[in-house]
Amino acid sequence: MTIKITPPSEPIATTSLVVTLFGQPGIGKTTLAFSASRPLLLDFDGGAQRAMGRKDIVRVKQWADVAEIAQADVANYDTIILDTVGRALEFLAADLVKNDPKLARKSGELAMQGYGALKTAFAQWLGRIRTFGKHVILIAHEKEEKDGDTTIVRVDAMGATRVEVIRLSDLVGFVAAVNGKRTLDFNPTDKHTGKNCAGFDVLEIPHIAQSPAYLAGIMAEALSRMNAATDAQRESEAKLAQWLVVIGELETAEEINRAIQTIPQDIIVKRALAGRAKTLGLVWSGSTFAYPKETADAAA
Amino acid sequence: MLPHNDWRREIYRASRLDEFRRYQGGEHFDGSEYTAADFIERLTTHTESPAMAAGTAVHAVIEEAAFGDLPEETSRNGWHIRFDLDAELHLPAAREIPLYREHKGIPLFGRVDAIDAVSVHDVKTTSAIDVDRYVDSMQWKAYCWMSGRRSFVYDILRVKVEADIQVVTVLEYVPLPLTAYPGLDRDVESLLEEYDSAIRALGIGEKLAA
Repeated sequence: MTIKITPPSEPIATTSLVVTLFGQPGIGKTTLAFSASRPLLLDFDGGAQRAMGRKDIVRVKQWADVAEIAQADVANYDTIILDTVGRALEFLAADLVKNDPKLARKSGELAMQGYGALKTAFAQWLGRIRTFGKHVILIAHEKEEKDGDTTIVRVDAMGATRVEVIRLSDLVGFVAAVNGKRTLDFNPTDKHTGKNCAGFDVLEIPHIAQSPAYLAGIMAEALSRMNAATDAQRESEAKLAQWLVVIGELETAEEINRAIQTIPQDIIVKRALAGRAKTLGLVWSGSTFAYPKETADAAA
Repeated sequence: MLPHNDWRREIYRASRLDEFRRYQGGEHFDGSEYTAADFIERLTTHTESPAMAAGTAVHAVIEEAAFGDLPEETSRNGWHIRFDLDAELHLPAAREIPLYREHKGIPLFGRVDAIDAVSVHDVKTTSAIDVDRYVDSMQWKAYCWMSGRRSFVYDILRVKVEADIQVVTVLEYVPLPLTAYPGLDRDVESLLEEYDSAIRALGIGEKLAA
């Protein structure tokens, strides 16, 4: 058993997304999901036939139907939709318990160990789909939870596995009807949860019949924004590294004080400068760094 | 920047904002009424539960470690700490970094566990991982606002605390990455204004100064 601390890896370009869409039944989550790029819907709930703009659907009766899904099986699709992720997790849980009854309590509910196994198995399955280079859309029902006087709407998934659904999703969007218009909001608010890696404002969902590739466009825009942010991150890291080198080469109080005027007002750079000043034996006089004797003379 | 002994350094901390939201909601976690007196007490007195003390001990071990393997068992602050998991914790080198920012003259202080050029990391210990609580919290939003970073990671450690024998066992590691959204700055600033109004209305500064 080991826990190892390592530096964060370099940001890498994103090529596929995991998107969670949640909202009340009948709001149009599945219809919206069908407007993603070349979708294949895995129908765990048996409700996909009600959606408009239906595309290819696989009726799933047990987890074994999808457990060994291979790259060749989904070669003609860009997006795999799980409808609903809550029901998919129930199927997966049943499969795990069938193979290892100790994962369930006598009441049939998953034991703590069972939830751990479920989280791991789901993350592994999702990870495998992503290695195929496919987008994944997780459709979920909503769940209202009281937080003091306010009610907050959250993703409904099986107990502790909600951690994995939220953690693994790049975008978590709430589908709702506001003033007669359907909206998709990835922003976390006081009213609902959300995850917005692409910085979208609240989006008004058009009629999917008129915009059959609506979600495909949103997801392409998300990828573009996220990768632009990755480029910006690399640039920030490179600039920071350059500044740390510059600071490490400062040798005198005069150089340090000149640097105060020119360094970026960034917490790491400022601390590095203060650290360098300390290494050189300088002390802060209130407005500049100076050698201790100069500071004492100035005070006298 | 405020003087080191100014009471506002203690009260205007990012971690207080979530306490304030609970007070605004009017209920404690157990559903009982959250009164102004409760809020004042929370802000002005410091009581550390065994779970908090155990978390502080785990934090200290991680803070002091640079990179590489942590010992499977170690001791800190009177707690015996066991790392009963296989995990890789990605943490930037700059640790325990203080943050400060003002909005309309209202200060906000914080201290992040680790930070690099792009993201802020905060290590949390908990007995049960409630992902919604972390996603909904103001703390990560405030840290993004204060640091100028748009990425945040909660490094969540699930722990078992045996207070009677002063043992804490780390069982699971879950990184929860979050990203700033368009309205984040506005959300933090407006809550900070409401918080400041409440602090003034409740006379907390006068109580601390007295």
